Amino acid sequence: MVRISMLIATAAALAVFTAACTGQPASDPDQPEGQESFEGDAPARKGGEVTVALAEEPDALDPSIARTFVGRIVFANMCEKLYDTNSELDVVPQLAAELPEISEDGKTMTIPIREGVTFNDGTKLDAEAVKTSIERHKEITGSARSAELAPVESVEVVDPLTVQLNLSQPSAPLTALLADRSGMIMSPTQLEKLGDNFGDEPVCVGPFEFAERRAGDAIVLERAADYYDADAVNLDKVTFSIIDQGPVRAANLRSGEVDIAERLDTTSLEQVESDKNLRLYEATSIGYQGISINVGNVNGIDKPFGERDAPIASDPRIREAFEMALDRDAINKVVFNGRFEPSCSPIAPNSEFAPTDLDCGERDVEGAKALLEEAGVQTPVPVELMLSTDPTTVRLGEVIQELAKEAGFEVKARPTEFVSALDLADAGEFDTFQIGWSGRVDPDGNIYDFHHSEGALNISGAHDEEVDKLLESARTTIDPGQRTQIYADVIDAIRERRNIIYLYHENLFTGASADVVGLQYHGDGLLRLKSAGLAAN
Amino acid sequence: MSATSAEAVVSPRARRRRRLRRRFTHRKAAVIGGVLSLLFVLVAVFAPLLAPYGASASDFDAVLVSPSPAHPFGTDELGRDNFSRVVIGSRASIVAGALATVLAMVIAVPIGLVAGYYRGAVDTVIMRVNDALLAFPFLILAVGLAAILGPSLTNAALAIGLSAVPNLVRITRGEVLGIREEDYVGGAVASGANDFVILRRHILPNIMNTLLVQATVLIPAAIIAESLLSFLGLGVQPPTPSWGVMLSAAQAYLDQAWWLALYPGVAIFVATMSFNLFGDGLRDVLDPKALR
Amino acid sequence: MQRYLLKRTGAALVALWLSSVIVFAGVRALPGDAALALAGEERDPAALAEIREKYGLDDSVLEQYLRWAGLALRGDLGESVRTGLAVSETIVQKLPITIELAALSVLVGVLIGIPAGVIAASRKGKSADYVSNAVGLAGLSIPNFWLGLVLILLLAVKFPVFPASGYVPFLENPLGNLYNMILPAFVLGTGLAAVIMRQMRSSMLESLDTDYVRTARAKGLSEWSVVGIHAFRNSLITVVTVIGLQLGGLISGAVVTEQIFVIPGFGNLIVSAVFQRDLPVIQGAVLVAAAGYIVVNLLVDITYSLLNPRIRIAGDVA
Repeated sequence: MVRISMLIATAAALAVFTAACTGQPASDPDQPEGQESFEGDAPARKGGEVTVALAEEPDALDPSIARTFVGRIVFANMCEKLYDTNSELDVVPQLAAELPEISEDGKTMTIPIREGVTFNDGTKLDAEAVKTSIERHKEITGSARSAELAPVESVEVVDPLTVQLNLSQPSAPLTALLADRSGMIMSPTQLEKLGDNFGDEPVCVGPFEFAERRAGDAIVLERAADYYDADAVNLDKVTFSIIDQGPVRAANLRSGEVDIAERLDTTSLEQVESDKNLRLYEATSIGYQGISINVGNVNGIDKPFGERDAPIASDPRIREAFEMALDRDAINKVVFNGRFEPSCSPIAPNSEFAPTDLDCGERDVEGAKALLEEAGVQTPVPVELMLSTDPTTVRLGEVIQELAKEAGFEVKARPTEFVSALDLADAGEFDTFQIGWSGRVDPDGNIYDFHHSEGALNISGAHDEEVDKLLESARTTIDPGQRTQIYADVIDAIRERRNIIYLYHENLFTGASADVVGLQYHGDGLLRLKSAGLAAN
Repeated sequence: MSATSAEAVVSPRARRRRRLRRRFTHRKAAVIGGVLSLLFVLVAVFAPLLAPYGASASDFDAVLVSPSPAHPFGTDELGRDNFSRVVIGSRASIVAGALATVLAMVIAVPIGLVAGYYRGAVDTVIMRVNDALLAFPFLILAVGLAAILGPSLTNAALAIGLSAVPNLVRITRGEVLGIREEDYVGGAVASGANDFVILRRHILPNIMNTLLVQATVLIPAAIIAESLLSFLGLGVQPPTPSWGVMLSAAQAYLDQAWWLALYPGVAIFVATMSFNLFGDGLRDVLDPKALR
Repeated sequence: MQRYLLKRTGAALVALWLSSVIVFAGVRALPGDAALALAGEERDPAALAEIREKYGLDDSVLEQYLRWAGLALRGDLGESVRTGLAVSETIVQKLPITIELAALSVLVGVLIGIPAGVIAASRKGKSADYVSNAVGLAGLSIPNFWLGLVLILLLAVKFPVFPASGYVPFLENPLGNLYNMILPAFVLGTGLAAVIMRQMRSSMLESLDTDYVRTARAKGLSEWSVVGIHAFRNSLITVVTVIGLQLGGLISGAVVTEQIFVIPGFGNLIVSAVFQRDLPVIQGAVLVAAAGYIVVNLLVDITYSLLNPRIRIAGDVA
């Protein structure tokens, strides 16, 4: 039988066991072993090829319609944007010359453009090209960017190197959004040539350019001659290989068949760390993982919300008891070998908007039981947990089951294939759903759509005017200090409402050959290979 | 007339059965296969009693322990006893094997009988549709059906059973075509017996041998197919143990916990092999000329 | 002869058409909104509506079928909903990989199965026979995805003899390509080897029992010429038939083998497409698989009837 007090002992034992076996200091969950980049890296030699293993296949390589995370990894190396984020996750200019100038009323955004830049097909980058791209992002059929660019009413060319965006209302998240696909500028020449099929042979500004794509297999990029910073680029060729099984990615990394493998499973980390030929890169994800609880989605996400009967939906005390029964540290230690960050907030700890004095509370089984008694509900309380079918998530579900059982919950896990799960979630046909979000640099991207009653991803059916107002004001307030305060209030409110119980932030682990130097890996999980190379020796 | 011919048919059959049984028991391999198959069925039926720890008793103290006296097959990533899970996992295999086979038979045999007996337009239509279904590789059919129906053990068994129907229809029909030409059938028709009686009394019993042999082919194929669908995530859902599910989880620990990948696979192998041995013996005895 | 050819071809065409209907209907029956599958993480309702319009997901099923079938006849199988690349191009890229895997597996199966079958037949009743019979049965009983895992564990992880996974295009590096294919071909070929061995053995035993052979023996011809020439040649024909029958099973096996060894072939394409609900790819690929099977069977039947007049006269089309 399970004794939760033994969980900690086990984890400690495991840690000691690991240390004894690998001869390295035991993993302390608060001091991750990996690094974002290695200072004092050996200088890189010019030339060479590198193979990167991706965890999924990217979708179309067209920034206007692309929706996958791995697609962004490829874009990060071949399609630069107006802005980018640095290792502190601050927005910095990339194709823009400086940060945007925002007018007093917040409705005009002026963006200066970097001089002397050409696309990888030789076309000049100018304000006209920027205008073409932004308008295409907004207007193309099936665009995935139109919601993000909704506040943009029109784009003006002020002069060949200055672009002006006229907004319908002030938008704080917009700058950060221009540091993602909405800010990617495509070659107008290529857009002319291929139109909707731009993704078949994309041309942008980038250290590398698109060379070949073999569906389900690989995407090949080659050094771009026309890149404005070509001197900083070392590699001749980058091949993105698609290997969707974590253990296989790790195996290929260890055998040398790939040089870099992104998103390693926590179960593969020890082998990578103990291998002298490999290095582990780590970054805290800007996303989150949690349990969404259906509190009001009774008719589907696009219909009016209502009241739900199920015990966990009807009484907030029951939800509170459920959270009290969980032990975030234990979950982290048992399911993820202690490698992730336990959390109760949708904003990652490394964001400037993260609340500073967050107390997630300790596990309190007695308190949970008392609450259930107070709520007058019959135990065990049935809870259905929908979750995805991958082995790690299933493990998580099993541990949640065990933990909740002690407080009087009977959790029934329902592993569901991902696409069907999304469908069911939108339709409101679920009780609770273990789901996460890959994260956006701006906190609005992690919160608004999930908690606003009109949010596109509000599967929990939460509808609360106060919270709605707070979220809207956070969106339109430009001053970061004020926004942080508003978000602190938002987090307090949603923690009380508990339509989402946040559990942890993932740490993203990428393994690479020790020969690879200059690799940049930040909290957005994107591999930046611009100045990466092979060690000169 | 029919009463006497019925009697005349029964006793040589009984004699034949005795002879066959003797031939069967003389083949060691077949007997071993039969005994093992029976053993496997018994294990599956009495699994909860035989499994010392139960299917989901996690013990976070004893995660990924290699085989030891307390845990002869080791423990898995949540500290569950591997031996118990392998034993309980046999239930999924046997349910899939039995359900899929029964389903396939129940659907395919009547169709094959009708097609082979009536011929003509009915036969043509049935066979064209059957040909179209036969054109899909079995696994793709099973994966597709399992994806449509949703992942669960019964749905996986359903998918496997349905995927086996086209081939079984073809075989049944072939047999019926042959038997139809036999004298005793012609005699029954001439004596005015109705179709249903003919099918039931004359044709069906005579294709029993082939069907029996096919069943011994289908069961092990279904066991492997179930483990495959579960391995791909389309069958039994974790945490319920099934050999396929266990093998899928074992992939992540191939390096550190080889026992997780070994024992469930051995179980599949032994179960399948037993039925194959048994089926082989049966086939040699009943139907020596059967095309494998 | 003409009549038979026409009848047989007509039947094949009907089967082909029915297959297309089955594929189409089957794919439509997959749960999960296809538009949702495309939409990925961000599910803006306006975008969903646009996706539905772009892919005609709102039209009636019949309209969608006719549109698809019409294009398919012209060789246009649509675009992958996931990557935007043309489905027919992707299939053309990947089919040869699986065909290579299948061909190598047949090679493995033949190289192991035929000698084993001959040995078993020539030593009937002795221990070598029982052993090879058992081994043959074992080969049939091993789930090949498990065999793959075990071989990866032993020959790629514990003792790095072979690569654990991966594929190198043949034109880029023929030796590397073959090296990567050894384990997968072996895994896929063992099942086939078992079937071939058993078939070889039983048909050789049959041939060895015939009057012709007994006469030859009585006449004093050497054992070798009896066995080697007549029985062997006859048995080969049956083995070829068996291989033909096993082709469907080979594709099924390839699906799994490609998954485990991460080979970006046709089988892997179908499985990924099913999981991603990439409808055009599923439709196109499964249709091609079914069509291929029907065409190959048609050719085999026609060839067989050319060689064997008895079938033609009976006129039995099934």
